Amino acid sequence: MIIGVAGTAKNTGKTTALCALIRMACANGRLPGVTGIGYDGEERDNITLLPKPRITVLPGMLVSTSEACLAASTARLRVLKQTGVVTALGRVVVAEVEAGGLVVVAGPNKTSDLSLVTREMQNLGSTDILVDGSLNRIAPMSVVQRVVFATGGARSVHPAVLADETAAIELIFKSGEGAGDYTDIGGIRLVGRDIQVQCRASAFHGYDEIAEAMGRIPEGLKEIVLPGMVTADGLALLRDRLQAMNPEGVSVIFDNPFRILLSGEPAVVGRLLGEFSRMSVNVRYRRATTLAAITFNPYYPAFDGTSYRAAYLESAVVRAALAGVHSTPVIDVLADGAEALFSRCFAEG
Amino acid sequence: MTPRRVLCVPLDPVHDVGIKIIRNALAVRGYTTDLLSPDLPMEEVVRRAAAGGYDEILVSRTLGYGVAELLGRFVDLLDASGVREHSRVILGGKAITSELAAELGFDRGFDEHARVEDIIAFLEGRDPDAGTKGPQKKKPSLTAGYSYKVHDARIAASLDEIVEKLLRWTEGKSTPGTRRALLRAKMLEETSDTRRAGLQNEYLGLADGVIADAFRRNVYPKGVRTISPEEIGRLKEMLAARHSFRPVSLHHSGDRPLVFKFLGSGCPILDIVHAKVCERWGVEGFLIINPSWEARYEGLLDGVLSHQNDGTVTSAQNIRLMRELLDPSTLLTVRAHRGLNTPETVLLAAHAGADMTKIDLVYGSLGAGTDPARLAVDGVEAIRLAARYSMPYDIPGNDELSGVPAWKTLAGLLINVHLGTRLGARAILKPLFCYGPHIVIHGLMRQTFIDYNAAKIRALREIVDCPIWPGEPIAFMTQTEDRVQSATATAFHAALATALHVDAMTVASTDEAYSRGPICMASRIDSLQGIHEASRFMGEAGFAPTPAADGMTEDLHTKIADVLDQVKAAPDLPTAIATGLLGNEEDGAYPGTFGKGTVS
Repeated sequence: MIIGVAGTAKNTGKTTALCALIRMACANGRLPGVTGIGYDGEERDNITLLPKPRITVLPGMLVSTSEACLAASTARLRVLKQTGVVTALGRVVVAEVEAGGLVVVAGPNKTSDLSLVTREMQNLGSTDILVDGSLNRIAPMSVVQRVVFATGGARSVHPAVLADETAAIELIFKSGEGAGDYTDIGGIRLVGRDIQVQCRASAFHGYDEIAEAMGRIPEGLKEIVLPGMVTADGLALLRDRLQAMNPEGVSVIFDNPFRILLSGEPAVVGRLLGEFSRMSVNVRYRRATTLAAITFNPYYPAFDGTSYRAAYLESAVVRAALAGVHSTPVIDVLADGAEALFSRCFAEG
Repeated sequence: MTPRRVLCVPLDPVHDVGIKIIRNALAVRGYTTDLLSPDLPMEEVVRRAAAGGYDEILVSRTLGYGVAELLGRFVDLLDASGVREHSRVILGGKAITSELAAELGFDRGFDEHARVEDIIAFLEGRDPDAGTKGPQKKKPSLTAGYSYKVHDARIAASLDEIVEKLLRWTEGKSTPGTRRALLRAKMLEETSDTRRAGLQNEYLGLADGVIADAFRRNVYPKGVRTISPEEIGRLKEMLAARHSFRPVSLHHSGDRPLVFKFLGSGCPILDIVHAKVCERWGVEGFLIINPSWEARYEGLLDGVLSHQNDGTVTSAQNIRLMRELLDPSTLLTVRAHRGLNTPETVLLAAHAGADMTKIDLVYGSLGAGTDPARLAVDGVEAIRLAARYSMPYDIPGNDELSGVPAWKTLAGLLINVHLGTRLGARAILKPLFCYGPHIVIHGLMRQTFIDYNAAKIRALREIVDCPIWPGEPIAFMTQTEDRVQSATATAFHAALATALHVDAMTVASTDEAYSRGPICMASRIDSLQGIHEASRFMGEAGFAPTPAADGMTEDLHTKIADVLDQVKAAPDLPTAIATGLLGNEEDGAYPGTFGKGTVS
């Protein structure tokens, strides 16, 4: 199982959730591997300079990080393998924890590299792998099977905004696996009753690209495959063109929910997907990911024009705002503990 | 390599100057570049990146509130659009670090101090520092190319006679200092422990009890202790673990004047750590300054020693440790002329790998406390040793700080230069760039600091073809406790030195005027930053001294010739010094007494 911890913004509690999952997994007899798509585990935040939670690992775990981070870690690490992946901090290695301690994690930072590194970790014995997110970055998370989304005061100090956004995220992740059998990452494909239309090979699907594709709709349209990055205005155009025909039963297949989430503001994208459903258009993903939990962190760094200080939202108010809009569990890790988070992430099936 | 396609993206509402500079440099090197305008929507940038088939995407953006998330999203869009499968994405801008670049998902980050060459080197997979560090950097020579010819016939005649008289006077004379130097030389060459122990006993017979106690009983002068091998090991470990970064160059154009700093905290480990930082800030040489008490004792201590007070013990082992840990291209100078160990210091410095030494028979006798007769004998032997080991020696004119007029000080420097030339050694003139007492009293710098300093250099150049290294440090007595004032004063004097095309300069730290003890790292960097800015500001432009400088030059030249005539008329140099011809009591110069009566 590969589990990612992504965030809606910096300082939303990704590392806290990750550390809680490591602790719980180890307590339950599993030694998860750990990697990350950014740079994490350092003492102070690179931007706010406020203290950050540290990542503690236990002997026997595997860690994948950049070479420059090995010396900065207090855990004793034995390098098992060079992965061939390079980041801004040097070559990414897979190392075994020989003596427990703190680690600084700077792993692969793009999708294909994360895929390669997690495979290497699995080959070296990690059954479970935890992928630490970075800031609001989510694209490489398409590699994971389950994801925890962290949000909180650092994303918005308005609980209603957090509620709308996390509801949209849940909606985006709710759609299931698609039947698309494409193997390339080429252009938009339109599958009709008798023929398929393959548009120009580009993994960027903006307004112009979708307009061009929708000008070539084959007879008996059954499926529209958009394997790349779809922009919000492209999605809106697709909705408009489908509305103009009878789209019932048409499947729209995207590559993965993270790419849809990247299209624009989650609330906007969520609304668009809702409209697809109302038109009886089936939205599917080539690679679906389960949204295991949403965590929220009341903490946020408040900027006074010259420096940052720690500030906190009222936890009960945030919880109340989020509780009514999700079927996905909402967890304040520090207040609620990590049992529910662990069981959602590591449950079989 | 095949020229690559590069997309230059100013992901910024307005600013695109930096990336335009980079784009132009890349175009010159044959890259195919596209530059986007600074106000494009992010999705449009990604569309162009996806369509263009670029090898590299250079993004410029100053970090600010919310920018990290914006950049993170940008990288994600590139990833989701498949762009990152064939393009590297590089971020540059203020406050960008490698860690931040990694956190944001970029392949590399460059801050605002990065050079265009660094970025190109990264794109081409080269080490940006290749050719500028380690053994590849050549050690500079300060004396190469100089003839030491005296241009002024009257002065040449005086100097010839002064030097010949001095050599005749010293012939056949010895001191405990010259005899110890001979014994030290034998000890260094001796392979038998027993015979070396015998030589050491003989050596200690010529040394003071304090020195003998250290050798025989491991009892050291107050505040001195040995540094353990473990401590040295930890220093080496620390230096090996530090990530080196590209050194700053203090020269905006050309490679002169070389910049020197003092080391002399008392602790060689602290000195080395300071020196390593200074090397990275562009310092090209160091002068080891020894404790004042070292001058008063006959004999030198042995071992890697720490001294809990001003001045670092100039034992062979301390010098060797510094030499070992400094960059091979960095010059190291050891002061020898103070006190009773001048020839021995030169000998040990040479064997320990120092590059240069410091000998001034006149200043050593007037401002630094050694008996003129003693230093004449010791100094001549020291210069012979400097010649034998091909060690140039500098001659500091610091007697000017006591109040000696510049022409007398400069006359003394010329005697030392000529003596060296006669003995086959190569000397370096060190006139002061200072606001000395005589200058203050007579208002010689009332109008400007430029004229009189420039006049000294001009006068010396009229007289002799010899390297010139203003010291010591430049701006002496113009600096105050205020760090900004002190750094600025140093920077202006450094700019003047650069404009006068001198060979080297010694610079102070901003707390050197008042620290009364070890100076701090930040204050070292203050003055180096100031010099860096001054060098950038000046470039190849110059200063224009006022017409008064011409008169000052002529006056100095004439008075130097007059002083040398008077010294020539004296029976010998020690007598000339003792009778005040090169600085008298009224000037504030008093002949020293250390070692009086030890010449035999």
